[in-house]
Amino acid sequence: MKLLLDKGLYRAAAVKAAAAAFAELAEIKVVAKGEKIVVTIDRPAQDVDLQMVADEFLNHALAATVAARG
Amino acid sequence: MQKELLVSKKIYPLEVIYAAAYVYVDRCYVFLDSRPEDRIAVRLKAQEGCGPKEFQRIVGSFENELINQGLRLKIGKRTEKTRDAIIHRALFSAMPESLNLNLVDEQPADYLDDPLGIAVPWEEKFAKKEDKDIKE
Repeated sequence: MKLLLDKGLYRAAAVKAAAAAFAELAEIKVVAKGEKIVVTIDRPAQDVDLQMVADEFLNHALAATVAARG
Repeated sequence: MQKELLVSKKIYPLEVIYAAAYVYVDRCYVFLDSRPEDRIAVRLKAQEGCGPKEFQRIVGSFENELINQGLRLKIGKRTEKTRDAIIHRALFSAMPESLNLNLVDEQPADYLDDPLGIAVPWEEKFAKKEDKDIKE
């Protein structure tokens, strides 16, 4: 599953922090590409719903971005 | 179940959208994306176990939260100087008594005062021994 996050709205550090937080639930790769941050989420852990990981990941990245902005 | 709201940054600055989104991250899934003409797409997605009525209520209250946060920002900017003044005053009042004493001007010393006894006239300091004896 591929997610495209706008660099102007999501901080790269926050997205990386979210990827680290969800590392045990799925394989998450974060790559900056132009104006977007491309997040690839694959291979979910056993009994883990990939869509739910993606949704929770996005919430985590957003909350971390807002917290970092102060 | 999801709903996308298009929010104009001219009406609701990014700070306001972030603040409203932050309030709602525990009630639904929130995703932000930029759109042309200074607009932000806010996608709200229902969490597991959230019914259609409940989700509709969340969407409505999110829109209200945008207004609420917008007003907070406006009032915050308007009262910034007053709040700063109050905080400065409160911090100054909370200073320990000893520090306050240091700020009080000491009595200016008189040029005639000589507490260390160093102001000895030249004649006295360099007078010949006989002269001193005569004086004594």
